Amino acid sequence: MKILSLLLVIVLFIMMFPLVENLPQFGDPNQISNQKVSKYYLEHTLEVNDVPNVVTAVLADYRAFDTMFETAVVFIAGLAIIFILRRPRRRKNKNGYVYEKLVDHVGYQPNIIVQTTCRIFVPIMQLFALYVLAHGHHSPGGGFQGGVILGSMLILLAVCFNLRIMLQKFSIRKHILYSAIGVLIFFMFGFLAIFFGKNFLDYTYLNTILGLTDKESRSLGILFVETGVAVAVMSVMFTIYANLRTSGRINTAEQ
Amino acid sequence: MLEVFNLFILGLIIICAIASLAVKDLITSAMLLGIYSFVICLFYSILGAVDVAFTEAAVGAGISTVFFIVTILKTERKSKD
Amino acid sequence: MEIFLEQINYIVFLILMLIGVYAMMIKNNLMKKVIGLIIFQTSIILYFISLAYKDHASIPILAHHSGADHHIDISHYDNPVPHALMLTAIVVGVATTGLALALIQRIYERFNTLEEDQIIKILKDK
Repeated sequence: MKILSLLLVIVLFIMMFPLVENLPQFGDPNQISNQKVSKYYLEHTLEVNDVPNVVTAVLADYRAFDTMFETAVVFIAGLAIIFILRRPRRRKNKNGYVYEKLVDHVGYQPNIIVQTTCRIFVPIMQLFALYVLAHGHHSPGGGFQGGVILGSMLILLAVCFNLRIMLQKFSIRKHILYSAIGVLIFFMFGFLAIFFGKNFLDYTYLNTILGLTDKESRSLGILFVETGVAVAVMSVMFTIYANLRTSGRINTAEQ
Repeated sequence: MLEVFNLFILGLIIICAIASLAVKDLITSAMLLGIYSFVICLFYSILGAVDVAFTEAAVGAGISTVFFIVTILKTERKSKD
Repeated sequence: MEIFLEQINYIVFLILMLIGVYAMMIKNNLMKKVIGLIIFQTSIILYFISLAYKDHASIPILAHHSGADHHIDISHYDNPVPHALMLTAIVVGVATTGLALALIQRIYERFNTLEEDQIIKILKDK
């Protein structure tokens, strides 16, 4: 079995090795993949929406449909992990079923050095995450990066203090609700465009509500949509961490 | 692309990938996966993809390593191959 | 031979992809299979980012004054479309990793081992 797999891998390598010279030359500016659609996006993105970061403009304005379903995929992954890990753990007794008591055994005492360091870091991380989210138009960043940094901030709090203390402040039910709200924000900004007579996910409907020009309303629409992505991703990252850490044995009745 | 630094980074990527699969202790394997993620983030920056490098650093070297170590905590630490 | 040294990115992508597939086939431990899956995913992202590279070009963030004269030379900026697609790919990758690790915890609760041949032996003995 091992020799067969090694042989298969070597045969695949020898077959694919000569195909490398048929690929376009590395770094060629006149490749065909740089010409048609990407040329249009690079040349017209400053006149249509005033966003210098072309990757954010492509992700949240030209290809917003993909990003909407990517956010839905992240939410569904968080839900699937809850369905896999949270289950009634029971044993059959002679009188019926015996359910295991749901305790969280993550009850260690936080150390004072770790506690103080965490208290210094958490506000800096929150500020940096909001900076990355808000400056997605002008510098590398955007919704997803800000959401992951916020999620790391919550995981840092859960690691440095108890998971039990963290869940008392911000319970798992609120996290699941926030992730659903994040996905809903994205979908709502797309649906509201239909009520004003435009296409789905066309952000120019904001100029009738708020009285802005077309360029400004598209830029604002990108910002709102990225906020939805950030909220959803933050909550899903913490939900996955909490469920993996306790194998699903979180008592949501008390926390 | 023929500069020595780029070739060195590419060699380091392959060495980190092979080493992460070859060690027997699973926590060392998770650490090496974090190093692999960080070095490939560096390579994306060299190729000019700064958004992708930011995301790979935050996700691969941050969140994915934490998930791995938490799972190793709940299962066993030694592996037989 | 000079051609292969020019396109060394693609050869490294091939090597990494085959390392990932080999690890998923050969290794007995389930965590090593998940590590092989992660290496496979990052190698595909490396391939697409190498397709988007242009020689002597800058990052795909437009300099702000070029909106005024309405003439943007596209050979100064990298191709932004593969970058956007690969951001989605990384997000989906982290969701898949989380799900695989949750399944590994369930398998460990049921069989009390993570080695694949021992799991197959326990299933055959039932």
